[in-house]
Amino acid sequence: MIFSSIFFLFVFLPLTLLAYFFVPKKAKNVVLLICSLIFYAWGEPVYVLLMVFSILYNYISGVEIDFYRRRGKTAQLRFIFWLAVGVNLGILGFFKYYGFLLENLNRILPFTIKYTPLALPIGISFYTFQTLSYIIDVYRGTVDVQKNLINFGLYITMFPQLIAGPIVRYADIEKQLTDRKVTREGFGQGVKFFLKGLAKKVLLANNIGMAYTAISALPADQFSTLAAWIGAIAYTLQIYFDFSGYSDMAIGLGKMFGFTFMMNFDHPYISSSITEFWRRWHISLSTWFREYVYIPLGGNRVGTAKAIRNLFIVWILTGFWHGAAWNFVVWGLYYGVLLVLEKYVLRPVIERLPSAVRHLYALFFIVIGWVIFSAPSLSAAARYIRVMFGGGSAASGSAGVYYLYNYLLVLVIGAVCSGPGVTAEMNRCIVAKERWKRVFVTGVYAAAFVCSIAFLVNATYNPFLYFRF
Amino acid sequence: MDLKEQRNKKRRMQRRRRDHFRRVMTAFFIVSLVLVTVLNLVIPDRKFSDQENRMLTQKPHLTWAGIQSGSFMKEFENYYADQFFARDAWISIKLGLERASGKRESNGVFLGKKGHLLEKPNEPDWDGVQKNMQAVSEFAANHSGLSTTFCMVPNAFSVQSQYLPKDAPVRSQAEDLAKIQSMAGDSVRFVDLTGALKQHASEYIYYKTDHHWTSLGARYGFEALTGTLGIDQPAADYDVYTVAADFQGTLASKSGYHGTDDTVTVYQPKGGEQEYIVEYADTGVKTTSVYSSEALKQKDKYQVFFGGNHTRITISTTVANDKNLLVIKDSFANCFVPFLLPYYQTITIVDPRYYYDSIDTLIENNSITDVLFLYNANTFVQDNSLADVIAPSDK
Repeated sequence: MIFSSIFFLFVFLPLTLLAYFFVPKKAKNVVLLICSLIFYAWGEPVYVLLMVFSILYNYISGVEIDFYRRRGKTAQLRFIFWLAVGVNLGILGFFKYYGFLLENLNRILPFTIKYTPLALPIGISFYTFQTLSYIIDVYRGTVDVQKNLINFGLYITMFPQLIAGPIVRYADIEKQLTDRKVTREGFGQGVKFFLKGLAKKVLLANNIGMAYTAISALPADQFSTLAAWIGAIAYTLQIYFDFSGYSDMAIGLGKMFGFTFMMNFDHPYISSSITEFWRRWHISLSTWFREYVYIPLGGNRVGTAKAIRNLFIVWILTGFWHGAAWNFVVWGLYYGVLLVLEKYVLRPVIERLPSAVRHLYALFFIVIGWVIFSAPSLSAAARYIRVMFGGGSAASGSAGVYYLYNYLLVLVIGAVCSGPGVTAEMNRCIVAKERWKRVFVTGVYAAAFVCSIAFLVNATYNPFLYFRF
Repeated sequence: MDLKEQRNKKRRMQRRRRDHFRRVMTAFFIVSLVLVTVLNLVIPDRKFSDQENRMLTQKPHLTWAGIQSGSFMKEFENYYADQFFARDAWISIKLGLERASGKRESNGVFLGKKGHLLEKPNEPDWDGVQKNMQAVSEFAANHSGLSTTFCMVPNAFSVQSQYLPKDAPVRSQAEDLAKIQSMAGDSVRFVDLTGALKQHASEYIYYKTDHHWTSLGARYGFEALTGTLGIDQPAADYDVYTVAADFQGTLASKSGYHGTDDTVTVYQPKGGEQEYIVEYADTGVKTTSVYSSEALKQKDKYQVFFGGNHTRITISTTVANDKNLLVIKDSFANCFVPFLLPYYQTITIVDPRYYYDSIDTLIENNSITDVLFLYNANTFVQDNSLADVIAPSDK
């Protein structure tokens, strides 16, 4: 099930809220766990069993790790810990990379192994990382073991962040699992986040996305440089609104049930360097990699050569996490190279540039990055980028002009909304002295909701880009 | 001290306003959810949407297998969206917003100038086209005793490109048709009506809200074909009757734009009514008119011609010239065939998309002398039914 659907909004959510607020405090976690499992099973009736297995296995592993750690039995502790890491990564690897592995093996092997590609269990990349954060932290002794199966199950399956993040670390939410309360104000704050996210996804991401879809389907004789740039910019905006919209909805829904999740996006397109971009983009993922891969490897407190190696390991993994295809690996490497360059070579140069140039520099590489990311294959990405720079583009640019007419307004609105100004202004209006401003901003949220419903009722195009991950 | 107190007071006020706003949001959201849910429960389900011209999803049956495969969930979601209260109004809001944002197409339909809606070109399936054209050329070679004509009707986006949105990217249908013609070979007479129709591009030869040509367009097509068909003295004057002035066709339904109305007309050669019998093989109905007045009460008024598509139709006229025509066609022929009535003893119409019997037997039993293939190009480039139907039956 996805948040941006009529069914979620007007069947699942009201029923879940009703059940949640109707039952006594003790039963709230059970209700939320059951609702979350239904939420997951709705789209993945069979894979819910995998989810249940994952909960039980990690619950037991956590208890065991805690047990051996307290007794100081290092050998058993290490064994159970690495087994748990192996099983979790093994499941993820099997479902996500099995087809990719065999496809590439078949390319190099003299014989062909037959296989049927598996459907990817939704959200597996996200919830595997969540369980790993728990297992690792229990192993390190930085969090207490969770002995209540319901609470543990709820941490893994909690439907707001179950399928597309934010990747909530157990340490961040441990207390809230047992001690949280919902006030009318807190709920309203959640509604605000949710409506903002819904509008980002349904009104901006979906409409801007249509430009990219149409342009990338253009036949070669109509695919001009202008069209290629419009398409690339459209995708850049689409993926931001799509993913950050989903995160906002998740944060908002979490708030409605009394949870506080970390902010996942902080206006990444205002960055003036690639380093800054990755501090603002998908923050929960970068945090996870920093916490559980980069720092354990030694981070940058080792020699330069090792630090560079660490960065590349993290970025190849980040790329690969996004999908089982070579262009994701290249995309990760691309950022690895850029970040190493910025860190060791370009920083003094960049710092001296005027801010407009720095922004353009960052945006340029971000847009090119998304072209690599979005293309169906590496060669397709290379073709696309070639056309962006005038190589082999169509003689006539009319298709580009046509799509510019069609999408100029949404692209401009998208560009404006991707900056921090709009949100800041709205928040100022909420507390403004003038009554009309406060009424106005309430009206904006209400209108956004109405318009979102209108688009959802007649949804012909409503993909979630991050569902592949 | 004073300043600090002032600042504190300001902060308190701001917090109060923020809390108030949040409570308003809570109330708004809860009321919306309850209201919408109740309305959806109370308002009865609809079977058919006139505006969208399609059947709406009905409540699915709950089965264990359906849950296991997830198909029940999928269908239930579709059902809920299809039966959402005031669905048509919501769609209008959406289309209004899209149009205001400057979009010039909707669901595969160009929102053209002067209220014209135009189909977007389909990407040709060249393998399928090749297969069909080879079958046509073999068919003509195997039936060298028959005079076989293959007629391609171009589409509005090609003929009336002046109505396309500015700079709309469309493939060149003229080039596609030239390519198709080159596949046809010598055994068949290939007629591309692009030139003939382009001469009348400013006239009302395509519906504004439907993908078909109008009767006027069909008339120009007929006049361009008379030579090839060997019709010596075609009618020069027609009585034109308007049978519907409020037609909203498939493109209106598909795009959701219902701004314009189309007029459906019927042409009858001046000087006396002709008598004939029309026999529908699929329904067994026999009538004395190619027009269905029933259709005029329906949404799709183009069905006034033969009441839509049928597997096989046979028309027997009072003309005694031993010319028996077989028309193998898509729906563009429906308003075209009436122009042929005065020149043939019988006309047999076959729609390969629904016809599975032997064409050879049909030719034999009906003493066919002439064969006319008539297709619109945009459908033909994706057709995959013709080759199988006209392939020689293995006996």
